[in-house]
Amino acid sequence: MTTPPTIRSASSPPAKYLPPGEVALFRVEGALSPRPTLTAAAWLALNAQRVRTRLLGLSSLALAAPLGMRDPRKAHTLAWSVLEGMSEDRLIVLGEMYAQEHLFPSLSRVGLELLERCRSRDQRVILLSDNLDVIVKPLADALGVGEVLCNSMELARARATGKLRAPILPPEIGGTLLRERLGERGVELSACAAYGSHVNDAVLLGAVALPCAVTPDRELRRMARDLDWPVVEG
Amino acid sequence: MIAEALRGKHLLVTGVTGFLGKVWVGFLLERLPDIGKITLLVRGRRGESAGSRARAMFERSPALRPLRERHGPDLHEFLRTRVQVVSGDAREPMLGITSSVAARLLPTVDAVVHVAGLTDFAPDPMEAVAVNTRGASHAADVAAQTRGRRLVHVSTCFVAGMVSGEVKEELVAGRSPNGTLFEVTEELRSLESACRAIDARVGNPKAIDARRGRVELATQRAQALGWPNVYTYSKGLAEQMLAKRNDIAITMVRPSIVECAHEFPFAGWNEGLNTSAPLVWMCTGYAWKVPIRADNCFDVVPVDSVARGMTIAVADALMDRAAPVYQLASGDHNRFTFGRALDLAALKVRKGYAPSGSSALERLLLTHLDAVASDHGADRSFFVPAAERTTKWLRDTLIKTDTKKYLPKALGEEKRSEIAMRVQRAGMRMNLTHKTVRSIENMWKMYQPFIHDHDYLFRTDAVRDRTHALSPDERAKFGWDMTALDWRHYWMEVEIPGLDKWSLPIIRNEPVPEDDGFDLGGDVPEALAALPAGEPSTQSSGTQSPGTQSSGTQSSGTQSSGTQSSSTQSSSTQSSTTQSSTTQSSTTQSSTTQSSTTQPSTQPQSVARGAQ
Repeated sequence: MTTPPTIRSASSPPAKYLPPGEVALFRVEGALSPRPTLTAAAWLALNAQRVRTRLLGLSSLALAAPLGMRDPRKAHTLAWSVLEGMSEDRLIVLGEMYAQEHLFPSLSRVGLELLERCRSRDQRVILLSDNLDVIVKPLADALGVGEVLCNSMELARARATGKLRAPILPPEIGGTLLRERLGERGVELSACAAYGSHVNDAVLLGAVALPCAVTPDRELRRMARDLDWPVVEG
Repeated sequence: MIAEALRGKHLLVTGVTGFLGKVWVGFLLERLPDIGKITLLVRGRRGESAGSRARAMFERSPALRPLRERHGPDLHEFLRTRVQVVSGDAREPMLGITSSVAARLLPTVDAVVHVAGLTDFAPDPMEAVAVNTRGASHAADVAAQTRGRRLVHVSTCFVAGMVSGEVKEELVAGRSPNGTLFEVTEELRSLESACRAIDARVGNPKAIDARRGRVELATQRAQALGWPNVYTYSKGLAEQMLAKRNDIAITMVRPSIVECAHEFPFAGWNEGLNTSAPLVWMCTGYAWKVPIRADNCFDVVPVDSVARGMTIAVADALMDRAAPVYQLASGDHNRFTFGRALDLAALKVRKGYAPSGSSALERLLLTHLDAVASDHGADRSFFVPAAERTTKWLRDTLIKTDTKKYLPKALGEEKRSEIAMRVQRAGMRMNLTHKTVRSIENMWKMYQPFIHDHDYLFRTDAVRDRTHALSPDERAKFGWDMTALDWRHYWMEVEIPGLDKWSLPIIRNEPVPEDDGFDLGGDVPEALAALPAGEPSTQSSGTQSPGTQSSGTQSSGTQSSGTQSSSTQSSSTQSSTTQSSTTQSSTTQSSTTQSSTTQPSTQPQSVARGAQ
């Protein structure tokens, strides 16, 4: 969190958009923290045990970054593949370290306020992320959120295979996959509130009853305006 | 079942001032206050009586902190009814117990638990045989005169020798690890005879050459029979000696690598040095290439788990239904590997653990350059030989170069001499560095059979089967608890911080903390020594093997510091002796070796910590 965000409408959002007793879905990347998932992959790759592995990983990520502009899913797959061979211990320890050293300080005040408001209204909060569980769970623990929907690394003999365990949550979380995973928890997506910031979250926000754009990027802002979604600035 | 087996029983325990011994005694007194009596066989040393050493242990050892906290000012009274001290020495016939004491004591003893042992990695073979091998026989002789006629002998899993794969809980009499048939008394006689021949040839048994010759000879004999070093050889011979006995009931307890407590007396407690301390010290420092085989089992067991396993074995022995061998290891049900240990050590460094005194640049380097396994053995690992060559070349260049010759005369004679002297000093410093690197290389070579060459899988069926048979309450108190151990948490949050606090100060030549401020009150030696103590100094010095520094080595090795401070003192005072008696003399070696005289410093030593 570099500068304290200012909140324009979060302090007094229309009551119809935040009813108590519903499920509130918070997209970690954007709504809570500006740090994209690729940053986490890069940091983990940079902290591989062997220097050679670090260099190879960073080279792959250098390719993944521009690819992400055109095909986020492929970039996502490529980004996580750089962790192939990393031990489970290392993933867990580094995940905690990344959460503590990079994610916590970057949390946005407006996102935290919205989260707190949801909890104060007895809403059930679920964090959504396409990041790894080793990073998201420490964050959830720190925020006191009991539920997360995120990815996890596939392991073989306690080492990362470089592939995510299916079903994979892509960067543009939403649609059938999310509906199914929420359904497993007894949650009806169409009855939820959701908070997102990027255009990738448009599918999610479009699928819920109560969408909310939190300091949205340009495309999502335009979409929110067109669809009359509330916008919360930070 | 356990409580019932031990209720009212009288145990005679040796090696109680060692790492494992004192934890086990504390564990028994804490969890089985209904035990009848524990007689501690303690060797007096350096003018300090057995009772005085025992008192110091109860007053100051962190291992007995739970006992002090539980009983507070009443500890004196509790000990008076439960504990007594007798002076003795494992090297002496009948453990050095005088006949008058033996006549009164032994008829009341239900079992002898022999924990004492010399745990040096490459000890003088005469001393190793005297303490580890003949000491076990002496314990058996004592057990034969007790009413219970039972001996529980603490050995080591690594008597398995140079083998890989499954190691069963069995002892085959007359057969060495590589299958050679041999007769143990003949082997001992030949060894001692050959050692005496070396002493006669050198002329002075205490000379470095004589000791080196004895160690080399014993190592060759050990390896010919399938043991990697003198320590495992002496412990293996001890088991063979005991296997010949049929006049008493013998139970072997073989711990693997005994490490920091994970629960009792408190998480992280350790004493002296062991296998992991030098490894952790190296891996959290600048050893970026470690000659280990990453997938090999690193068979570590916390000391309190060993205490649990020992309690089960002793209870079984008292109920006359003990298995012949109880291996206390982790590899067959909760495998930990050297690669994982290395990875976790590096991660601990990343999380902020760094050697004390390191600069910001050093910390930056250490936190970003993780140690990795170099699967080539010590001989061909990249880092050490390269560093050894480089430092040797630099040393020779700096020392041999006539610097003044290359300096312009315009500088003046005084300035040129000063620069030349500085170069010479740099050469001397490089010489020290070179020796350190050489000692590191030698240490890796000593470790090599255990961390690289062989992958052991020690079966632990006996202790686990017995644990399953315990009631839930007793399982919680005494059951074998390695199955559920979380290695990541243990290694990062217990083992490494524990070593940093309790063990690595010895390497760093810093004081080891101990508990102060507790006074048992009263005349403790008299209270503890319900039986008269002998004259420890005469007993302990009487059988020193010729040519060894055994008084110091034995006292620290076998009895390993009744208190931490004495352990530190002994290690520092012995360092020069130990250095000179081994081929290495550099700083690291001295610290490793000095620690090994005080506490085990390598794999078999750590195993032997169980045997302390």
